Amino acid sequence: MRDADPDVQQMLAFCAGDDSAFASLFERWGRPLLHYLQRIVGDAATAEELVQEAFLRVHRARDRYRPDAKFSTWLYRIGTNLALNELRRPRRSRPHDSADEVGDEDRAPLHLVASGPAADRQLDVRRRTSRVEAALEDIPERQRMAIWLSAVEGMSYAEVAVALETTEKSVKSLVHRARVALADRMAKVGEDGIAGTGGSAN
Amino acid sequence: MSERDEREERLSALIDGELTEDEARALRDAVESDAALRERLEALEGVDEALRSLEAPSMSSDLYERLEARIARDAGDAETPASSWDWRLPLAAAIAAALLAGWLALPTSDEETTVADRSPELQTTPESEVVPIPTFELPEEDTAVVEVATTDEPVETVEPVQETPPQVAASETPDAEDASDVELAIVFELETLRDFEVIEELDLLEALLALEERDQQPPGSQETS
Repeated sequence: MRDADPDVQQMLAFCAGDDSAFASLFERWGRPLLHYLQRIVGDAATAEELVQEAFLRVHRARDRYRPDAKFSTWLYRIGTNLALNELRRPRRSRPHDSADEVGDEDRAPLHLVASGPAADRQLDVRRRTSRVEAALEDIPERQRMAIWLSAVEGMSYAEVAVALETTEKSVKSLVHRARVALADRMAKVGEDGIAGTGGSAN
Repeated sequence: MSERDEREERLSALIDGELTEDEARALRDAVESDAALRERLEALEGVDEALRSLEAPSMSSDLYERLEARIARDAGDAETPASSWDWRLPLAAAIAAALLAGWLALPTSDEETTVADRSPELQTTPESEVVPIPTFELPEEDTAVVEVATTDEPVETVEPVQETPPQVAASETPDAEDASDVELAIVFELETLRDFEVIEELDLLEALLALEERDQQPPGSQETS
């Protein structure tokens, strides 16, 4: 199964001396990893540094790489550890601490240039995106990692367990708690938003 | 775990495709006949949908080039036989030790004195702890003195109330910075050199150079205060 993973094959090719295979792996996984890390550390510049560091470690591993897992699982494990180390450092000001980066629903109507059902739908999507972004920052980092890897990256619980260095049972619980917490927060923000809108209208 | 929690966890597992076929079928049947359960499943599925709709950040166009540069640096470091600390630290320490030994051998005023002779606070310290640098420990109150000796700006000091011989901390102007201050500064620098960053190494060399310059000045020029 792992041997059938095309990314593992690329990694093995890189280990055998094919440098273009390393570039292909970066091309394939650099951006998804960046997205994941940015959601975890909350800062684009830091996330880019971590992506660099993760791929540097992949590069360093060329002489001792063993395909024990899918390449992406291994890569996300490296990225997760780097992100956790970053989060353990003394807190720096991160862009997502500022209102500019956090979803601001009040700004959404400013971008609305059309009206009618299509515009309503666009507004709904924007609001939901803002809510889930805000809610995501609000839940514990391990839950954030687990739900992201499961829901967005489509990893199985077993793969998430490898990436987070924990058990499948723990992953099942983390993913579920994250999903419930996000659903409840999104619903609450939605209700508050409706209540706030009604209040301001009156 | 309550029955509700357990049921919700099964909904999560259903979304994640982590149930067996039989478990999934049974749960879907339950969802069909239970409006509240259906509503909850939709809310939980909505989370995944919202997460997947988040826009991926744009990546700096030069990120791969920067990565390649780091890889090249990494390879360069690996080929270097020894890291910079491996040779620079012992070299700096050797220079410092030689200069310090040379300076200590010279008389600094009309009468030869030692640090302990001129510093009453240090007289209580056994000589064995004062002279050998590696085991020397600065009393807490001397730390400020070291800071005075290592900064360019004069530091405000409080006049000592009691009639005691001038303490190391009582240097009021840079010109009055006596030999004991400098010695303490050097000791401090050697301590930090062992444990901290290259910057201390540079500070130490600067301190030693300043010391040499001072010794080369005519004797009268040091007694301006």
